[in-house]
Amino acid sequence: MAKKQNTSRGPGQRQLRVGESIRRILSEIFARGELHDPELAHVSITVGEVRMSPDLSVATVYVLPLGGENALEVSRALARNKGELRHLVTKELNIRFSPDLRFLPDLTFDQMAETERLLNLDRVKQDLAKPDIAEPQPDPEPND
Amino acid sequence: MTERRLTLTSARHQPFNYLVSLKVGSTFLRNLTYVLDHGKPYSQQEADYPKSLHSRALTREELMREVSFFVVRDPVSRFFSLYFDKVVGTPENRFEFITEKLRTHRIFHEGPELTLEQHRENCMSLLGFLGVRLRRNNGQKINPHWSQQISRLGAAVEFGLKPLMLEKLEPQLLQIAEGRIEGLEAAMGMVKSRNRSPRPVEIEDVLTPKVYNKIVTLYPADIQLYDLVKTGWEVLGHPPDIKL
Repeated sequence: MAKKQNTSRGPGQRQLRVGESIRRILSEIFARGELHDPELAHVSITVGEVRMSPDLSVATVYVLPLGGENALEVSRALARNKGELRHLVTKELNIRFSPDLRFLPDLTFDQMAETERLLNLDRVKQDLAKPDIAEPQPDPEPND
Repeated sequence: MTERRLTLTSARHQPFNYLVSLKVGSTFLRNLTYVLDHGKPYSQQEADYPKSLHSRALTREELMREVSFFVVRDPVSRFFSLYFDKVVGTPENRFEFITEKLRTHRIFHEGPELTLEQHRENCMSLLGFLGVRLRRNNGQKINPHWSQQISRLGAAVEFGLKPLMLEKLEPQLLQIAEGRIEGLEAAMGMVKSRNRSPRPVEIEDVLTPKVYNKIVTLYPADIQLYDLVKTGWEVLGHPPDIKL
């Protein structure tokens, strides 16, 4: 008898392992500057997470340029280069198939910051309203 | 038009310049620079320390000819350094203005033998305090002990400074120096230990997903920056080219 599928389960170990491998490979490709798209030449990109579909045929890659600006443009530029990236990833990844890469802006930081803002709104107001006692300054440094 | 210059801490007689970032190895570098200048470690009796340290305003071209760098640190490790040193550290190191604020408006457990849970609560309390300070928009300067490392990256990138990692500072510094700093290795040996804050407990024992997520929320770009520098060094074997 076939096992009953639990569709609410999180990603399996293999999904997580392949996703992390792809995240690592893409980070290394970006570090080596192996893409030659002029739109990506002047930007440092981090890969926050790669989520694999259950059958491992699709990898959703969450990317963010350093500082977080123009995340959408960067993900679109990467999508334009996905053929080359897919080739480079498959070469490094020791698996028989070649997952399709889909690039999306990594919104984790934004979402966390927004949640944080909402949770702390009253506390922030209260804290800012009260005067500080004298705040000592650090030792003088030429750059401070 | 005058060429733009960046003022950095420098050795007096050697081509050695760095951008100071507090809680990112600044005491180690200050002590190292002192040894490069004086040939011996400083002692507490020397009244002119650290004012005797030298600074120079240099152009990008000059900086790129010399050994010029900045250091990045994992934001989690940097946060705990602040906590262990300035919040629950020795009275001479502690920032009373922080503990006073935590005591009055938040939570602050004190004493020589705090439990892990009390440390965790203190950390969340401190992170709440930092969140307020980092969001200030009334023109007040953010304290450099907890300001975002990325806030000074613009200058570092513009002037071509090389990014190094705190945990691999010594070998990476020797690598980029390429023999241009006389006595660098010996000077590192003379700076006996880094300024490591005494730790009553291990970071790994205090760090919970809640504390980690809060640090990520406050320092998202620093997490990215650290990741880029770390991956860059690991992949390339030399300082990566950071683009901002």
